[in-house]
Amino acid sequence: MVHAGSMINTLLLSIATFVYVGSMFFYLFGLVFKKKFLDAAGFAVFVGAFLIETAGLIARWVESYHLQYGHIPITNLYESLIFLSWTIALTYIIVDLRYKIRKLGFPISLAAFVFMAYASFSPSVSSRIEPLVPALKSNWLIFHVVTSFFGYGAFAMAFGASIFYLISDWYTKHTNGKVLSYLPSVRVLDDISYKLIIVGEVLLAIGIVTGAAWADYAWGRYWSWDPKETWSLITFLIYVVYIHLRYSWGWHGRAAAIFAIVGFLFVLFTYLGVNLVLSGLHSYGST
Amino acid sequence: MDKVLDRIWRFFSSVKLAIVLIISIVATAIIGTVIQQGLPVETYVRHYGASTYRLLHFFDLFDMYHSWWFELLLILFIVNVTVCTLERLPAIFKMVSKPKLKIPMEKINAFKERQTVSYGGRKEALIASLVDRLKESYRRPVHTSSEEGDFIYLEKGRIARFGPYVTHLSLIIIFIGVLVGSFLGFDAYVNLSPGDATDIVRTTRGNQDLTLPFTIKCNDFHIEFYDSGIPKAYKSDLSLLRDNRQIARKVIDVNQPLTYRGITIYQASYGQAGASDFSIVLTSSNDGEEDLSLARNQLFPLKGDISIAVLDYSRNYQGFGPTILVGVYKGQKLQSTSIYLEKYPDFHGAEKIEGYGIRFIKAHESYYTGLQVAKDPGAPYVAGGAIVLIIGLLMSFFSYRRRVWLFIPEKFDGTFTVAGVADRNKYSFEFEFEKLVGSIREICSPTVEGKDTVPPSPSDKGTKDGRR
Ligand code: HEM
Repeated sequence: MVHAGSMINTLLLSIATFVYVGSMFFYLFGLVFKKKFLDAAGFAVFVGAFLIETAGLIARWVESYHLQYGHIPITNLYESLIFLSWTIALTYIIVDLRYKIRKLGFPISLAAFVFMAYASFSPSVSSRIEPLVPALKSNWLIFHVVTSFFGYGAFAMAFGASIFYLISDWYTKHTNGKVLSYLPSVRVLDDISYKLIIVGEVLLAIGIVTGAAWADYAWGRYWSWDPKETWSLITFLIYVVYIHLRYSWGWHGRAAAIFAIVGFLFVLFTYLGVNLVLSGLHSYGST
Repeated sequence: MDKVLDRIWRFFSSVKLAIVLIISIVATAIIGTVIQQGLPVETYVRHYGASTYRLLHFFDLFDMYHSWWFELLLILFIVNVTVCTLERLPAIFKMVSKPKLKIPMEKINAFKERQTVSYGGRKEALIASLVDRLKESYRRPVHTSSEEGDFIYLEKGRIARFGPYVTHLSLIIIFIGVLVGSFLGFDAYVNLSPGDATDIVRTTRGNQDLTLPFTIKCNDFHIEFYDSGIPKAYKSDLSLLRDNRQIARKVIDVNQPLTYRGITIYQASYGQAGASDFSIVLTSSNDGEEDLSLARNQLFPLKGDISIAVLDYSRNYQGFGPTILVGVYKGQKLQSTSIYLEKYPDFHGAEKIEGYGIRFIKAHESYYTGLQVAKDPGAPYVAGGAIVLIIGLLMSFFSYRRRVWLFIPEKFDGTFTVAGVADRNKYSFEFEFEKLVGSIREICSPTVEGKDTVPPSPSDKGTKDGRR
């Protein structure tokens, strides 16, 4: 059934998808032509896309109340993909305002676009606002999902910074010490990647703990080795290894960047792979 | 004997072991998500074949997270964290409570962050104004002197040094909570139809009967659905009885359990109990209307040897709402079937069976409630440990300890050294150090407004060499 009201949010979200593409092209041209104003334009358009996306999410939230379901829009695959792109975008905007790493805008706008587009155009993802099953009607849901997703957002950024690290590092190796002037220095990339990973790790820890608290509250069992739970623990432990390698053995630079990239594959599997490949409790598995 | 203990202790205090253990736990935990856990034996045998099944079963791969070897990994891991923490904690306490206020010159010269600052005045005035002015950004500059010269020691982010230990301690607390829960707690389930009562529940693992210190009675069970057939809410009205006296009563909901003396009863699931009843109206031109109530598969004679039965029911058939499938029998043989929709009585209204029209009014489904009954005296420890874990991570990550020494040589020749080191975040520290040196130069400049502080001597630049 198509409700008249449900058009507004999907319309806004589709517009946001295309505006992300626009910002991605500005960033891309910025990389190619090395002009500062292109990066600035990319950032402005990116923020525009983010604001439209925010409006779309709010509209969706309001519309869910009109349908009498009344729930935060993070409860099925469609909504979670949109929300993931939103958290990645917000994390990037915050990091950019602080560290001025415009160049990271290209992979980030690409990621924001890919998640949005997958949500909007994949035939297997339904954009309908669906009611919540009773188990999900809890305020813990909001805490749990929001912290976990911002954790994913931080890991995604660390992933982007690490890829740039490798590119820059590779370039320097093969040009007898020239540096890629349009990327931040390798030291900055290494530092940002590490800082984002510890932010992600804390958020992921809070996500796991709120999830466990909620499970205990609803089912009397804080841990049941459900695949999603298990994979988020696995991801947490992977980054524990990263932290110890870095802290106790001084791993940094290329080794740390490769580790961060591999770590993000675990994040992706925890987020999507578990639902698409394995089966378990979490709601957005069945699309 | 002491040697053996010593070696065991050394073995467990290694971070290498920690990394090996964590990676083993990760690798085995992945297996547990690929092979579905806790299914009935037949399902596995069908899927893997008997011999593979036996092999996998031998390694407990179908209940992996409770296998002895997985639990052994977890125990080794906890011993590892404990030993690691105990091993280093005393040194940390000493390091923090008795910081090295003075350090030898060779060490200072080895620091990456090191600069020389000039000052035109007397040494005593320099020390006094430095200690006084640095108070603004460092809590407590400490001045000491030796025959080599004077030191001013600055420190920030001391608390971060305890972060890892708080984090590791939290793991131990969580582990104790898990142990307490697994020895003193239980996890069981029971299904009750409205009106039923029992004091026996079945444990989730092991499938054994467990007698509760009270009887659970289900007074009523209520379920609501969305139009799409997805359950909207289900609630059970429960009473707890002891010696036929009611000791508690509550309507529990999915996120609202009932707790009595440490035992909590959760609304976990529901199921359909027995045959449902269907209300149907039979219309015919001769006999008028007749209300019927039929159980599933119950044959109702219509005329001669023709009878009908409700064969199937869907709560939401292709988006059209509640629907029944009615079969027409001749004797015992099924002749034909057709569907009737509750919301669209005219959809098949025209289709008459032997002159009778059928209208589907309502399905009366009877459900049982699925309750989970659990007791976990370890849960508060786990919860406390989780909070400590988050605090520990925040302590570790959102600050870092950095120390700076100002060394003013005994034979003061107008220059002194500033050197610093950070436990972590070396890169951020570089900027902070630059800023600190800048403000020290400002303190040392003759006039505060005077922008022309003494330019750094060439040897300052030298410290930057050898940096990556
Ligand atoms: C889930 C498990 C673990 C977590 C969450 C954890 C967490 C941490 C954190 C946050 C730090 C501080 C790192 C930094 O400041 O950059 C740290 C340091 C450390 N961890 Fe762990 N850790 C875990 C397991 C272990 C284990 C099993 C060992 C056993 C050997 C261990 C040994 C250490 C050591 C030696 C340090 C350095 C402490 C210091 O320098 O004072 N950790 N850990």
